[in-house]
Amino acid sequence: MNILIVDDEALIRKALSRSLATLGYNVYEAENGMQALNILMEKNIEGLVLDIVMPEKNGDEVLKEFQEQIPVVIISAFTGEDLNSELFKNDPRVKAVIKKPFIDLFSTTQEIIRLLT
Amino acid sequence: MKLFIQNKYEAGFRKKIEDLGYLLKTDESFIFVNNEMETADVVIVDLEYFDKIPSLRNSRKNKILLHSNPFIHIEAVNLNSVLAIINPILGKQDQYILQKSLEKIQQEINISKIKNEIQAKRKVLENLNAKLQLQSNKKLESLVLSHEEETKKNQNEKMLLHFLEFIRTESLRDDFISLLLKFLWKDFKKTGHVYQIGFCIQTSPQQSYFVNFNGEFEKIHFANDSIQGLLEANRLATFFGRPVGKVIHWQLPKFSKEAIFFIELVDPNFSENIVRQYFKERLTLLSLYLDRWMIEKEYKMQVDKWDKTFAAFQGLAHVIDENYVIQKANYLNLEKQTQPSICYKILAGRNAPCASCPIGKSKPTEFYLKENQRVKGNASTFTMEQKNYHFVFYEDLTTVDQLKTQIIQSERMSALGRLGNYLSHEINNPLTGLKSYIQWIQSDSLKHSLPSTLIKDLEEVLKATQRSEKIVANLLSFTQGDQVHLELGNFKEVLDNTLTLLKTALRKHRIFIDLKTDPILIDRQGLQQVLFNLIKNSCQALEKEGIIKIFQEVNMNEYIYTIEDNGPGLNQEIKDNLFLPFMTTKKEGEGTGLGLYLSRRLMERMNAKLKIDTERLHGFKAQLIFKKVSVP
Repeated sequence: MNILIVDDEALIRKALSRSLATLGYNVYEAENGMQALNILMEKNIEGLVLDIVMPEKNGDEVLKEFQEQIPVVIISAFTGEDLNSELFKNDPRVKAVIKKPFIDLFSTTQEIIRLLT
Repeated sequence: MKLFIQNKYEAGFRKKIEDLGYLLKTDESFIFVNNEMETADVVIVDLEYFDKIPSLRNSRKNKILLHSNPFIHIEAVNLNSVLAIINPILGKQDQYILQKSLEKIQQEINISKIKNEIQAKRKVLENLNAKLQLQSNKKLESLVLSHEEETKKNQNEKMLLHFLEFIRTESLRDDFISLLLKFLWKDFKKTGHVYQIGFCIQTSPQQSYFVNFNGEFEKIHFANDSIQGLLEANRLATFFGRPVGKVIHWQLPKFSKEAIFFIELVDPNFSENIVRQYFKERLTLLSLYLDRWMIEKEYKMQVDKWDKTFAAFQGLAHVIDENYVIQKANYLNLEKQTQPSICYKILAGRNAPCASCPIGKSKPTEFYLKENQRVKGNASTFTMEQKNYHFVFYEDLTTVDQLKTQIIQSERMSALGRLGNYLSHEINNPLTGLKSYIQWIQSDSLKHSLPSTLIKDLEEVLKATQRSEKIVANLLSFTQGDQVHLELGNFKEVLDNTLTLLKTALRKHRIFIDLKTDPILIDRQGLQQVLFNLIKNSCQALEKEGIIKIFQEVNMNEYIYTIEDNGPGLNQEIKDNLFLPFMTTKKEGEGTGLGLYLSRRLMERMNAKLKIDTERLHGFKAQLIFKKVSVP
């Protein structure tokens, strides 16, 4: 399965993508919204892990501009109140919002897999 | 007795008759005369005379017939009232008969005279009686009449007296007019003449107000008309909802406003005079008393208005005299004071007038009253009955001050909050990255390729990131309005959990606990944090072998949990700023200074209070106050 991980924090990206890769997933990385949209157009992405606050383009803008029906997991440092949760409350693609900091890498990875498949 | 005899016989009878004592006349006119005094009582005549005067035949006049034959049958001669027949010769027998007959007649005459006299006398008596009766009747009548008049007058006087008493006693009552109408009604009810009675006052040129009473209920109406207008157009009918009978009214003479009494009569012809008389006797008096009532009422209204205005003033207001003695105050019940209340003593707790007293100053002054209340005083002076008084009112500035501080505080807080929020989120990202990456490196797949020392070092790095996370989490919770989960629990349980966390810190000290397990509504997490903060503070303040006591008290509505220690307590600098965030005596880096601020916030979110005793000289005492819950 092709998964795209979008986060401006390199360590988070790397940790998640390597963790998923060992479990057999084909992982792509993007460090901002623009890159994410490029990859989404070019490749056949089947699952999306998306941060919200990023330079160049935010995660919610990515969701707005990319309308294909694939499962999405949002990772964010903000709580639901601060976010424009309206934005993806009504977006049926968003399966869950996982808050940062992660409790631990392993369980977070498992949760992401569960939500995307 | 008077006799008549024919001329021709006169000589023979005169002596005898005069001897007998009677009057004898020969005048013919003597026989029938109207005057009884002059007429003959007996006529002595012969038969031929009757032919001469035929009317004598049948007359009832007593006759003595002179005939030579005394045995002539009287009836044969057709004569009436013959007493005797005697021979004109007048022999002895005849004389005798004559005498006797005349005596008889004389007797009869005497008797009838007496009878007449008696009758006359009786008549006189009767007349007299009648007159007397008449007189006495008249007298009785007049007595009765005068008595009736007296009674009426008495009654009238009584009614007037009653009326006077009524007015004197009731005219000061607020509901005087209604009582008056009812009183007047009672007086009129007896007469049955009045249908309705009312009183109308003109309150302004185009407005009137009137009250009417019909024996059963009283009604008040307001009309957009002058009294004149009401009466002229008979607009009263619109208020009574029916055509109005004859209404008579009286202007109140000495009354300060336009006002009338009006009466609706039952039978206009019959009743009017009585009613008018009644009112005539009372109107002036009524008017005087009503006027007084009106003025009293207006005066009372004004006093009331003034009292209400005075009492409604938001700040402190009072009137004092030249010696600062309080005459009127809206913060004090003067009647309950045993001594004269002095302004500067009561409001400022001072023994002399305040230095910044606004009295006599050109501008309002700002200064302090007791209990550190900051006020702005405004004074104005007035004279009444040649004495000087001051009216002073104070605007409370402490609340304003407090509000200002609070606003600044909350502005600061929200700025701080936003900063904290921003920072914590920004830091969370790299922290998460750090932690996740380290965990990745530590994961099974890579573990084997690393030297064991590196793995241990990585573990330390991980711990450091975890500590950082905690700090950030603390910072976050300070800014966020977390949802509070309130549930029933008990203090002891949460305390026990907290003490477990602080086992190490408490090692050196002794802790005494006396708590029950009463149910209270708490946010477990929150309370745990508060207790953690407080006890940790105590541990840090206490030097070796300090004592911490935790116990509970109960009052009507609350549970009060006390945590106290015998440490050094709070110094003055802290006392004033205890609950401010970032207030800490710990060295840099050892505490955020958020503990008490957070704790108070947490308690407030649970609907509970946190009080710190700042009056103590040594040791620290905090009280957590929870409302009692009614457990169903």
